[in-house]
Amino acid sequence: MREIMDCEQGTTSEVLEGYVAGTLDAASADRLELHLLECPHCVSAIEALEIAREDLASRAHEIRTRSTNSRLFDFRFWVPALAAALILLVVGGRLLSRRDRPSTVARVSPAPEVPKSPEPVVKPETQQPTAPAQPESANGTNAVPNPTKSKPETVSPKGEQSVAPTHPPTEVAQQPPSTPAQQEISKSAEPKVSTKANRLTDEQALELFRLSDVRVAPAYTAAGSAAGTKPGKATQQAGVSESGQIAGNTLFQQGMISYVEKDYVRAAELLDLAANAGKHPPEVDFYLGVCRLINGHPKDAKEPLQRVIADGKSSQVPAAHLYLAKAYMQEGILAEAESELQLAAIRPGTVKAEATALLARLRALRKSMSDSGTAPLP
Amino acid sequence: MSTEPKPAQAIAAIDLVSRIQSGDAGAEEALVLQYQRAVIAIARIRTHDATAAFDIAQDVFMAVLKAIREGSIREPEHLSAFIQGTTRNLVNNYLRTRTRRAESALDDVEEPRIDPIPNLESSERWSLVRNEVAKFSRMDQQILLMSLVDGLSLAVIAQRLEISHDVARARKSRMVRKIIERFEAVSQKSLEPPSQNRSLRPPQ
Repeated sequence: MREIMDCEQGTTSEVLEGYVAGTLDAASADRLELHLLECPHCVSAIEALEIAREDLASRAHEIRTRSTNSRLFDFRFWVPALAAALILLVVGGRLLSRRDRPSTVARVSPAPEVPKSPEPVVKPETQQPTAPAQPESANGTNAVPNPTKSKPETVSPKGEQSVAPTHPPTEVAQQPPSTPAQQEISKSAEPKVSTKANRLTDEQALELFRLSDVRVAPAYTAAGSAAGTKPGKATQQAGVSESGQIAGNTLFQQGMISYVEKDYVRAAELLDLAANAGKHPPEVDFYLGVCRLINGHPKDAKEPLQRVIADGKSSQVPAAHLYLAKAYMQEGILAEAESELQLAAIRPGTVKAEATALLARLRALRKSMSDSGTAPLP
Repeated sequence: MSTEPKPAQAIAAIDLVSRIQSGDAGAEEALVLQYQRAVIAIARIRTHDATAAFDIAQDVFMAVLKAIREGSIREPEHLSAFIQGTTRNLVNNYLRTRTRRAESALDDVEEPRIDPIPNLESSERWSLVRNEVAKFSRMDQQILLMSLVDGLSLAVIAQRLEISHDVARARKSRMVRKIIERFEAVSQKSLEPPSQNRSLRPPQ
């Protein structure tokens, strides 16, 4: 039992806690009170404990509610589920990279949009892990540890996930057995967001998770809409050869159809093909980047988004900056994310307000990480 | 924990009582100043009512000073025990009746004014403790909640949270130590020498 510092009689904290909690027997309480009249150190200690007790009592419902709702996400489910998610992520990434086999590409369920590493929500080995997957939605209730803001009961220990990276649900993928994938996990599982040396607090991880949440961008609605009409001027002005343009446009249209139908995996495949069919309008890259981000591939999402930005002509440039920031946040590269948000917030428009708000929150998060001694993320 | 006062404490108590009985106003101030913090803390914890604790503390000192002046305290060396007993009785009275003032027999005693300075500073200390608690993880807050608010034993807490007893104890101990140490650090800064106490008025 730990003795209270500077207490000459060696009063233990357990005694003081019991007194504050009201569990001390009457005789012991009387003896302690007599001691308190002579020991300012113990008085200070019980004052502190009483304030803590009152604070906790005032938030008891909140604390209990969060803990109750999070039982589904205690680490015994979360760790194997996340391991399975990582397997899917690796496999999916490898499959998507095989661009010459579009018809045989497996329909892979997007990995949940969670912070890059599972470790931010898992305590170090020296401590029992807290209920790690206890992210909260803005209203204080628990949410699924992925950007979907409904259906918290989507994570199972078997790895099957009906999680959706954004509001639209995605299909549950068959988990392909893959020894090389499992080997990849040991590499891919190495987080950028958090390591043992720079572990985020639960609150920081949750905030980062929320910040990197991806909302589906409105579907392309210009003259070359996904509804199957002719491609718009942007496509024509891209200087694409007619045949390539036609092929690209077709793929783009098909991709946008899938996008509208919320089949982001298929949409990404088609848009990827469209991007590789030759010169293409920036909208192809934009939606390709968005789809990859939705599908949980922030690293692959960056390149097409950066092409949009490099092009500079598209009206999607601010949005591309915003989604690029999301990609960086999902990778835990917060400095770059902040830069992208700044760029997204420059131009007036619909993106400016969102980017400005995210920028403020990201800066607050980075400051809290700095204040709490969390090592800065890359 | 021995209930017998240490010799130094006993001597100091005897001296204080003697001085009060001889009409030393400064001695009454000194008595209030010496014991008010503990009395308020005890009343607050017993009643879980900060406002009531303040009122009870005033009643305690009114009763104690009256008893000293009237020579009712037969063992001045046990002044602390007398104060503790008076506090307990008034707290029990409060809890039973929820009344704030004693009977009129105490009206003729100048109401000792409790130093509000510690109370004002308590808002800072309140914020400090709240901020400290907010930094704890959810599990840690649960442990503390179950311990301090629900009064559950470590064994029960460990069982409910599905952690080991040792882990629960270690985490709680760490949290309590942090809270107390931070609190004491702030309290040390706010302590004022008695001579600088601005709010106590000698009873007339």
